[in-house]
Amino acid sequence: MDDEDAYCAKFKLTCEQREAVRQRNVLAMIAAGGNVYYLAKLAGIFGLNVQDLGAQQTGKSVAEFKQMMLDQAKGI
Amino acid sequence: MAKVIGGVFTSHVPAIGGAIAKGLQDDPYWKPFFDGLKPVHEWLKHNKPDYVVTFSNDHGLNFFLDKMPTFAFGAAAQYDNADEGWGLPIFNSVPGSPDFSWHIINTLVEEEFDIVTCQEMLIDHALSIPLELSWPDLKSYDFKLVPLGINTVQHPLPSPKRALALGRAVHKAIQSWDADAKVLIFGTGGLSHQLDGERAGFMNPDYDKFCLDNLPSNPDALTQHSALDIVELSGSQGIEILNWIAARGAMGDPVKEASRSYHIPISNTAAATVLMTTEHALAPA
Repeated sequence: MDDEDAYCAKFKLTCEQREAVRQRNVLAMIAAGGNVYYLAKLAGIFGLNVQDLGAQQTGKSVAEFKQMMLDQAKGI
Repeated sequence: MAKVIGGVFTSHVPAIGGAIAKGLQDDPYWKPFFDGLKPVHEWLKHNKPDYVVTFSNDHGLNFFLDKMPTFAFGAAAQYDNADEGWGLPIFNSVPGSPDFSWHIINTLVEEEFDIVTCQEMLIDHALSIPLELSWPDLKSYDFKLVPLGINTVQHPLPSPKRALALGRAVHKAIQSWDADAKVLIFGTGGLSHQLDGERAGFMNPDYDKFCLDNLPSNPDALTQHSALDIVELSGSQGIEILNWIAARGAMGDPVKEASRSYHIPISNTAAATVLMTTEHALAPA
């Protein structure tokens, strides 16, 4: 991770993929061919857990995203 | 003839591994989920399997997107975990049984399931977490593992109907294994959840209830939906129910539900633990 450009170049990321990674933009990573089962490992790389990912993708704050999930427990 | 004694079905959210590592089982967030394992622990005190046959999906530890088998069957003498990038400790290794694996593989191919065979296979959190949840105090496992991986990760995915048929073929193979052995089935993953896209955070308690209500007595009901229907109903990762459907098929019939727990949310997931038992279980659950 010391040289992110070199690391991404090693795996032949396209310009679109490289830009999505540069921006840490999960929706763009998926649009560029990413699969969330693998992108979920951003947790170990950047400390972005799946609540952070969910909040970013849905345009919510992390607190709002967590509340939205809690709300789905009502009535079970 | 080997006999299936029961089936353990549980979610495999990576964060559960973090909670185990940190000893958070009684933390208010985690307790409702971990309490669902207590009936499993009690039952396992009386029912010690010789073999554990598992159905789960790999998350990139064995198979990357460049090579993705629909059904991959382990035939190794030992299965090790390795760093998956979550920051979790490495889980215990589990001994395998090449003889039993090859017996099932040969039966499946005779039954026209053209599976991938893996004489080396790593096991990831989708197996290690359910094993740790079921036997939290064991430092080494005294059963032999027979793991089957199902692609629930990269489309196209197998149909629920095909997953159930595969499980039933595994059951046939277990029944024809000439050994006085007890077999426990595991199905892992789910239930409803979606990690990706604008619908991230989606869960569906109604569909999950439909699955939990029907899986023991009428698993064919779950095959009325296609894999893509289930993605719509249960979320893009809720399709991990394919592992449960195949595992249920491997149990044979009849089975009874011995315990059920369902809790929202664990991480981004509707988490569940179910124990089903057969007539060959040694003690009442």
